[in-house]
Amino acid sequence: MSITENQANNVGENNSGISSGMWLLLFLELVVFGGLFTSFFVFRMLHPGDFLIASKQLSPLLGTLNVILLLTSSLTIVLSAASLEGKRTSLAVFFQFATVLFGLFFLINKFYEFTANSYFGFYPDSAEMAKRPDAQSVFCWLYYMVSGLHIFLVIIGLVVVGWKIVSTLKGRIIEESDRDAESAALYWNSLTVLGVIIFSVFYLIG
Amino acid sequence: MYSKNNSTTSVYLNQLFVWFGLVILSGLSVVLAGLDLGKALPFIVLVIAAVQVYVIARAFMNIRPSDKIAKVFIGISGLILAVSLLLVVA
Repeated sequence: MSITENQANNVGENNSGISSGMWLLLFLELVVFGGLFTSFFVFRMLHPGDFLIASKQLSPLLGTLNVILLLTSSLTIVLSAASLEGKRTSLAVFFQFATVLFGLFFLINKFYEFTANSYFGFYPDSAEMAKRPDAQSVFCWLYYMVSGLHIFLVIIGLVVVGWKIVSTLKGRIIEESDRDAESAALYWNSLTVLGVIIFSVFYLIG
Repeated sequence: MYSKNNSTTSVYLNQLFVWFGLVILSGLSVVLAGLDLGKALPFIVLVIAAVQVYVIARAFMNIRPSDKIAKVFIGISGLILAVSLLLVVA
């Protein structure tokens, strides 16, 4: 049986092997961000013009770069899990390091973006935002709330992947560790999902 | 051993193709956002984002729609997407 078939057949087992705590975390993510995005669309429906103007403050170029970094980090975390399953420890560690690297690039890019935004006064409660209509402030608040929460979750993800690197280097390639890798990949990919939605909603739809 | 390595390589290649497809979809969203599509734009961008999320869930997260827990997630996500689509066309 090929590894692909094996993976496909094990998906159900892997999903059931993933701890209920992880599913609960993903469920909480879905509910919290779902609520925030729904709020965004309600306010956008009420003030489409102001939301469009406020969204022009965000750089689609930096947003695109963020999404590509997250998608690439998702690729590497998945390749890491596949390498672990194939007992290729060195390759798995390489891909885990690559994931951390792309995650750090994402954070650096976000920091640069926030700095650029603050230069133009685009941050909550700034003097610049006080001069603008309330709806634009709402956009700004929602953007920073969603992005800030996302960044916080990415930092947690980096810690989780970092811990995975340590455990892999210690040679704990056992069934339990494989399930941990699956959980780490699931969590990290959920952050990419969030990144894709944040980009589409705030940068492109606005 | 050769067969195992070969299969692992094909897994890597498959995931690479998925990644490439996701990047292309992101690029498509950016290009479409630059065009004057009026009220249709938010709808199209949301649909593309939903497709991306589905691909990530299936290919990267190994989530099967037939799993019980996946049904809960798909149900809630679908509801949020439906409400969002209604609000952008309203």
